Amino acid sequence: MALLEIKNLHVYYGHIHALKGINLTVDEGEVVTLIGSNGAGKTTTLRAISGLLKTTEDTSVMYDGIELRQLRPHQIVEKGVIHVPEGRRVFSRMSVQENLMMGAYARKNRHQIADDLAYVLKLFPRLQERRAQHAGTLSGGEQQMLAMGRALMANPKLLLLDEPSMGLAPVLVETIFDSIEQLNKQRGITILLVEQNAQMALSIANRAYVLETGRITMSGNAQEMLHDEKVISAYLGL
Amino acid sequence: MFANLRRKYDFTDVLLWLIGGILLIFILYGSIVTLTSGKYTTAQWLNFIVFGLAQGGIYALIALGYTMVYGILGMINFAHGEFFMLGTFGAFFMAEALSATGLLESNWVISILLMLAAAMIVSATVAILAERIAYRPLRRAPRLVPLITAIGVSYFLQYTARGLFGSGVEAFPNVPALAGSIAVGPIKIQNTQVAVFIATAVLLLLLWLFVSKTKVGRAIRSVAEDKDAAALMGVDVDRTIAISFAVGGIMAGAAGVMYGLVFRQVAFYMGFVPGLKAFTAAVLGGIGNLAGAVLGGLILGVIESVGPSLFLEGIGIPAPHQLKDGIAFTVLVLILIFRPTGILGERLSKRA
Repeated sequence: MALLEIKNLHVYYGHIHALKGINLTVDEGEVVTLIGSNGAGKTTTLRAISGLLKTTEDTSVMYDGIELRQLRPHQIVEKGVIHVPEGRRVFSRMSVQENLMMGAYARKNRHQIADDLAYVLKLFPRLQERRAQHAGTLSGGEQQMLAMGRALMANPKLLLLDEPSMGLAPVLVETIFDSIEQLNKQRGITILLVEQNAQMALSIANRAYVLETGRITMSGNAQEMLHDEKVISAYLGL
Repeated sequence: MFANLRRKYDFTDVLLWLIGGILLIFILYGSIVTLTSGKYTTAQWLNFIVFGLAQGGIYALIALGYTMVYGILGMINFAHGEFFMLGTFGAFFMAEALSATGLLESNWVISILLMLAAAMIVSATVAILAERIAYRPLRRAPRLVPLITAIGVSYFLQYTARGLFGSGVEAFPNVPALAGSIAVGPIKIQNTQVAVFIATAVLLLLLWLFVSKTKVGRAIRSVAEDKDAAALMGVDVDRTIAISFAVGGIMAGAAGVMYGLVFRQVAFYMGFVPGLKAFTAAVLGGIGNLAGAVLGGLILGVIESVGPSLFLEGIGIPAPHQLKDGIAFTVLVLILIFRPTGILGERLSKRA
């Protein structure tokens, strides 16, 4: 069953037609990746889903039987769609602990929040060590862990991840992708992953879409795409 | 080496430093002459300082509103002085009513609390309405647009008050219990000043607890740092901005009560100069920084109170106390030349 079903997604930046009618579905429990080069519209797609960008009237973003298009970002968060933005965007003047609590902002149940906090600190032990520290003093990898931990504190059903590997050393990229797989397998979180590192993204995804200048040009099984000639020459750089 | 310096600092910088340097030399020269002449006793200086701190406490309360809104929207809300003025009117009408019923004489603590409540409600309501009606539609407009709108809102509120309450100066009712003064060693402190100190300290403590310890306070800080990221945490950004306007309004309303108690008058134009002074205080402390607003307010109050006698009397300027506004804005000029980020400020470009 499709958890997220996007039909005919159009986004304009002023006169620039950034997304030209995207159709995309993510089934419950899946990891779906959206790959493509710089400026293809990957980030725009995620920002449109989470309500940060205005979409055109005929766009439809159905999530779990609800139309998200008319909702404001904080209402979409309350539905369980959690977006980890590009560049992590942690609150650098707040402590790690406060950042994590910001993730749980929309939630009320203290017990569940405490349980999730324990889970996040177990998943990313580095955060436990640095709980009292200002987030601005963390390294890039730690900030990515914090951004993901913060998203987990929101108890996501659908996690939108934007370039989690950006600017990270290869070892850290492995760690981050391991934790993404874990979240999907252990917690049953559905994931829509945007990546420039197509190799890594395809290796953990079930399905993939290729985005080129605002249009989806290919879609299919992620494993098959890893071996597709066109994908290899365009995105895998082999 | 000179070529290097020339590349780094242009002509305007040097000219400004020259102006700043000349001002500083005057200030230093005046201070030395005044102090060596021995015209004032230590007790008199201390009295100046106490008066300055009371005045500065009022500036600090108003400055908090400027700095909160700047921190969250990157906008100078020039109508903020008018929120203060309308709050003072709220307190004034409450005080009149209390005076008529005799409660002002019989139970001054409750009276002052009621005056605070009236002033805070009025100021906060006006602040919320101004944000909703005038500023919110301009959220994505270029930065100059809300700035000019703020000046328009300021005039609108000023002349609305003039139309409603008249153009004269009204006398704020006397609170008999606060009429006297207490002596601390050689210093004489007015009871109203004591009330200002206590109320300001309590409000600052409450504000600090609110911003640093509560969930809403955390939301305000998150919106101030990154609006999109805050929205992705489930924070209602519009509502949070409205709350920070309301909090700024509450502080301005409190300042209105203090002002009424200390200066015993209220008029439609009274928001303008204290508003500019509080803005100066916010810049002095580092705009966007709450502790800076308080520090800037207190320092500005003291400079304004001590300055005329200290800096100007020595140079032989007659009636220097009429020039205290000039001193306050000279302070603004000097900060903008030598430390544009203020005492506790961070780089402005980063926060813009």
